[in-house]
Amino acid sequence: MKRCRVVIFGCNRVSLEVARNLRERDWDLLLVSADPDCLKSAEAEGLAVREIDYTNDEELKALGLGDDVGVVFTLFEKDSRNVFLVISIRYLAPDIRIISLCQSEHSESKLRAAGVNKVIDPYKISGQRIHNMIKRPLVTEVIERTIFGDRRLGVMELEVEKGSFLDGRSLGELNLSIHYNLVLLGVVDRESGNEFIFATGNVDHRLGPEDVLVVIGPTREIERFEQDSRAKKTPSAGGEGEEGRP
Amino acid sequence: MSFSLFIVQRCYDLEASSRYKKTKRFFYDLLENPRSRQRSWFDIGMILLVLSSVYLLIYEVGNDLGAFGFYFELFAVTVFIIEYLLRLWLHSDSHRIIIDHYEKSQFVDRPFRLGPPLREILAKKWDYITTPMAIIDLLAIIPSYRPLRFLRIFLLFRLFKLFRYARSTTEFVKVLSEKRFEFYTLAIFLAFVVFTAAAAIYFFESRSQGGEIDNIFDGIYWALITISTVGYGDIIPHTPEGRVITLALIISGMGVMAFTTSIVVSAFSEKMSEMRQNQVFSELERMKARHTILCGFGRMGQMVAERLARDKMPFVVIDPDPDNMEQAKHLGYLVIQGYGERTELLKSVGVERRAERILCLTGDDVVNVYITLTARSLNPGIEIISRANRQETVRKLIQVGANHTIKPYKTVALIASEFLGKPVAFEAINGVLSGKHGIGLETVSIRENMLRDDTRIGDIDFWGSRLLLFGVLTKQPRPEDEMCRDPFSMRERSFYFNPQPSFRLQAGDVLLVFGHEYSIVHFKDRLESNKLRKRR
Repeated sequence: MKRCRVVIFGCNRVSLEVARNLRERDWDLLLVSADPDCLKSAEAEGLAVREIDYTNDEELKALGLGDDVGVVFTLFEKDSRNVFLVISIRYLAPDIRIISLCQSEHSESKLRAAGVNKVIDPYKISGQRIHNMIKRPLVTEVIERTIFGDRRLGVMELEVEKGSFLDGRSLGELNLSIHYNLVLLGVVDRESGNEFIFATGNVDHRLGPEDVLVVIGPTREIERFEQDSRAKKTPSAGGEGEEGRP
Repeated sequence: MSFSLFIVQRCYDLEASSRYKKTKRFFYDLLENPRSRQRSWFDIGMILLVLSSVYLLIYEVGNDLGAFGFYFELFAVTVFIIEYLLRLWLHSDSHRIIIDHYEKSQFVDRPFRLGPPLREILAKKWDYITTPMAIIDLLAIIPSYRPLRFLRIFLLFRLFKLFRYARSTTEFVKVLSEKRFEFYTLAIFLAFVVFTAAAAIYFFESRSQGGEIDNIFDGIYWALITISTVGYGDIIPHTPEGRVITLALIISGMGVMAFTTSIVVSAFSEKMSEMRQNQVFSELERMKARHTILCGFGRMGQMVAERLARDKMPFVVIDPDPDNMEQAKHLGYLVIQGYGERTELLKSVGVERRAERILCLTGDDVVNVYITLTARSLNPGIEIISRANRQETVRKLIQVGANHTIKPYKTVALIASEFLGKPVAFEAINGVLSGKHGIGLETVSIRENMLRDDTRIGDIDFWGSRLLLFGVLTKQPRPEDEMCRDPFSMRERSFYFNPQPSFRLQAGDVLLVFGHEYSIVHFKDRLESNKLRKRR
């Protein structure tokens, strides 16, 4: 996955936490805010920061928006600021990916209308998680401890390349859980409007170059699968999944 | 002497008998306990009995009912007598009194005599007999006794018995009795005005003066009719003096009316919130399923409440903010306005026994820690989920007994960074985890006798059931030789991701499968009926 530059707007608990997480994953990021005190403490943590007036389009342009910046986070705690900023950025850079924080249901639709790609509502998400904890405690614990928590298992997306061994195969014959230690959750078909096809839902679906596979597994296995798919070779029944089918 | 000791012995027997206590408890729930479900049914039954017996009484005036009327009356009176005696029995614990006296006399080394405790018992029972409700009960029974037939009119007292069974009327009387002082003032004022007016009208409008008033009773009657603004007009003043008095009386009458109304209204508006809370408490008590307590009805609380309501899980909201409370009430949730930190409040919403879990979701970490601590000290077994707005709070919450913590900011950051690298995969897994498109991650428990011995993962046809095996949760880690992959350790179990076909399943294991909800239901169904093995 090619790495673009990331700009984070806003300086508060959420944005600092996001910045730390992204730094762990080796993203090239810049924290932008109008609050010099908060920026100073962020700088002390070793984050790249810049103080600007975000209402000024010239200063925004100077950040490289519409240039080499690929992703923008608008994480102000006031929804109105986020909306304003999103409108400015969308004007400067029509193709940039914008992820925004949202505090209330009403602003979610406004943010979407302003051109946000992904709206994150902390309360909604937390509410959902609490509900899951109550409703399905076992499932939630497993997910927290594997996929979201320690990241010992990862969720990965993998684009089917033309001519690779995946191209033209049907979902039913991949058997990733045997050949690799991976669970294939499904496929997102870009041709038919990003529709998610569950792995056992449409077994006869033929993979094509526009498809994205969604797999879960240990990071090492995902990398091995990724390499194999690039190398255009048919998977040998090797690696960890030593045994064949019974 | 030996007789009194015999009595004491019986009392100790009663004190030790669980059956006696159970019986008494049962009748307490049936007759007195304001929060028991049995009482509601009993009350309804009694109301019907009272109404039908009074109806028969009225019907009998013009018709002859014969044997049916007699037996029904007999039945009603029997029920009333039994009820009366039961209430008399429930009112106090006589054997306790005897035991107390006996132990006291043992303590001071005096000979024990039955006299004083018996006197105390009788005094206690007499206390009950003289309460207004008990008198009404008695009056509803006595007239059925033939020699006292002339008291038949008192049978109508049975209607007063209804007060006992309709809780709102007792509530009504209680609220009004708290405004006693205002009512006294009003009554004195009223009496003063009425008597003055009655005397004056008698003075000016007596027959000798050419008016219509014969005596002072007529005067009082006229004054009350006028002051209450009823004004029948059967007695009207004829002299100018009489008319002036009438005018004055009418004006003061309006004042009296307004004053009375305002007392009643203010009494109720002051008590309304308390009454509503009591309503909530008793509704909680009567619920069959165990409920969830939700402290804090901010945005997060609302989100959780919405989902709980969708699942029809019972819950009660506690929030000190009137706006939030209004909103919760508007949505039809059970809600109590108050601070979750208050031990009394937590107790009355059932933290100690009835509540299954408590969610501390206020925006203030101090409050969350405090509620967690209180709830844990009241009930060691309750499930507590708390919100931590700062990283440092997590440790504190766990320390004071929270089972789970939720960190909104951490979660947002995690989601933001996960989303960044792989938006497609993220949306897909999120969709599955939140149950979008009907596809979800569900658990399937393996019970004893569900599978034949030595069933392996490879023997089960997940693919044919349109399911995807995510992993297996086991109670203990499996021995090394069966496994080629290390499990993930959970709190009480081990999780094997994507287990090998050779993985041996045991009773107590839990399968985690992705699939459509119908597929999962179907799968469980087939598992129950042992049809899952692949043909080899």
